[in-house]
Amino acid sequence: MVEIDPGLDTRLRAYFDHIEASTPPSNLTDAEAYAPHRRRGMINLFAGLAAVAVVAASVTLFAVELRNHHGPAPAVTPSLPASAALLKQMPLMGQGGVPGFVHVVLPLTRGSGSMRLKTFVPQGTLYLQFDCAGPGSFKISSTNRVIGNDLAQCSTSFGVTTLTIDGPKGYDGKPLTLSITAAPSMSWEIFIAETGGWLPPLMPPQADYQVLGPITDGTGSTTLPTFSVAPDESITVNLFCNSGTSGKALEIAPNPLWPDGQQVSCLVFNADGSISMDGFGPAVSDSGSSGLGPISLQFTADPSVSWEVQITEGPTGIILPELGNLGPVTQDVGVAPKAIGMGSAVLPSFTTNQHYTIAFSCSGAGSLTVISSGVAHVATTLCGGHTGWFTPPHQVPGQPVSLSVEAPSSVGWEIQAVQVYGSTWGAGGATMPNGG
Amino acid sequence: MGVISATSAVPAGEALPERTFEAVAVADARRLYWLALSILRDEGEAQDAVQETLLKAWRSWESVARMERPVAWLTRVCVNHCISRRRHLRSRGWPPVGLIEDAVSRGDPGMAADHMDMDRAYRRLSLMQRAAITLNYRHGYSVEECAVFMGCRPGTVRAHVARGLATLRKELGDG
Repeated sequence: MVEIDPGLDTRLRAYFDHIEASTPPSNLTDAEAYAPHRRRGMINLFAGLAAVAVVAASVTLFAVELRNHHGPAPAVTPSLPASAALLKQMPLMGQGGVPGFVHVVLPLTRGSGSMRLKTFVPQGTLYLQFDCAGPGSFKISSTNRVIGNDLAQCSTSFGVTTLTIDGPKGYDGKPLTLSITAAPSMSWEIFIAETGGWLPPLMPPQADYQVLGPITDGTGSTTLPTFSVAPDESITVNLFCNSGTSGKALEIAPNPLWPDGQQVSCLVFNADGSISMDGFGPAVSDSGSSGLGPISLQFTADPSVSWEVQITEGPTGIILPELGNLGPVTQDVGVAPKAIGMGSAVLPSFTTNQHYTIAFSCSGAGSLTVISSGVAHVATTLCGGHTGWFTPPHQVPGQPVSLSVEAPSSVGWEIQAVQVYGSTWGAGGATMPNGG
Repeated sequence: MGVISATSAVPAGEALPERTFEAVAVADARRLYWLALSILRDEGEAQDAVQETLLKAWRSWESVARMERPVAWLTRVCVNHCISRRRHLRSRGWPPVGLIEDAVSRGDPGMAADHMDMDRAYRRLSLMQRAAITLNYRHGYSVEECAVFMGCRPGTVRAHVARGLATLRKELGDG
């Protein structure tokens, strides 16, 4: 830890103690609060959740891949001996089996007797999962003797075996040809996967996002094509790298986007089947009022590091205005749930006994019109991160209020009705500023 | 021979023990809040940062729970959010100048005079300096760990800590 002189140490420690004396809002420690609701006050509708989208996509694709592992019939030789019926369900993924985040080298394959399998160059940790049934011995071997497993007899009670072969010392990047030696009456199945080369899938960009740099993958060091970012745009760099088990990093040289450069920790596949992803994911930044560029990202990485990158720009996040001290309210007390969406939509109607105003934010190219109980309010003609509020006239306590939005599909918005403070019902009873 | 282990298979889909969202992420919310508050020095924004972090974790918990150190992932996301979020808000001209001045003039009624001096000095630090000092000095993370959380090199973290402390000394009249 940092060396610090006693005087400053005492004052700084007391200052942090003061900060940590503040109690976090109770909703932060309530798990139920996160599932159905959005966060308070601000959204970054398009860019901010890119990380979630990518990770979710990764999980989804993993699930699809997993289903594919179990779903389709395995590659099978035309006629298998009766012992094939004794083979167990494969592949087994997860703890004790093959980790989910792997690149499949050889899909589940069933056969009998001796067979020469495919030739490939292993990357990262290699997983060989197999089962056999029938009389006699069963042997898996490789051309360069990296792999060798010799069973004197297949036992139906032993079950599926998973071999974990760590690299790269084990095979030195050389082509590997696997062979199975077994009696003709013996049935077997095998599944091979490796950690190297696997990268999570990148989501296609949002409809209102522009691709500055298409999905590009590669290995080692490189310089990407130059791009520029328009003013007041959000730029998202989705970058993943995989160094197998070595835990290497990818360095991004200083550039207008990251003046100090950036160090990206690559995915690490652990021997226990878990995956370390510290530091992975998309970086979201803002181009500022004058834009950014030209930018040419320069990667420096070991040749064994594989990576993929995608660069997009789009509307910046939109911020629902906090009207306290600004508008007709002193605190943002919602009288109806916050609504978030894109394009035209009919929102749930609400009923309140409070005088209310409607706060809104929008982002994207086009106009936003809010219609409340049949009264249309053109919130803005160009949603460039615009925020404001308006107070619908003729409010009647306890009467349901309908709310709808008209906007192009590329316009994102956030809307909430909030309580007006200190106003009274009836004509002329309240100041009704219009922030739109 | 490269074989390092041969394991009998365990049925797939077996959950890791005690890796529920509530047990890991929500239980860490208090620490994340203090971390975000130390960097942003704004309770509302700190709350947003933690909620955003936990929202991301909740939506991708299946993969986060598989990580070796999910708490480190939470820290990284939270720190990244604090840094990029603040930059975003500033670039949008938010909050309005009037609000900033009003907030500063009101101050924190619970803050002692010495803390006010330190608070004023601390707010002079850049977000990166605050993050480096908070993570390294207050939370005890190594420079290398801080570098991962902040997405920079260890040398950059050291520089942020050193410059931040120098600024504090200068502002407090100790330098």
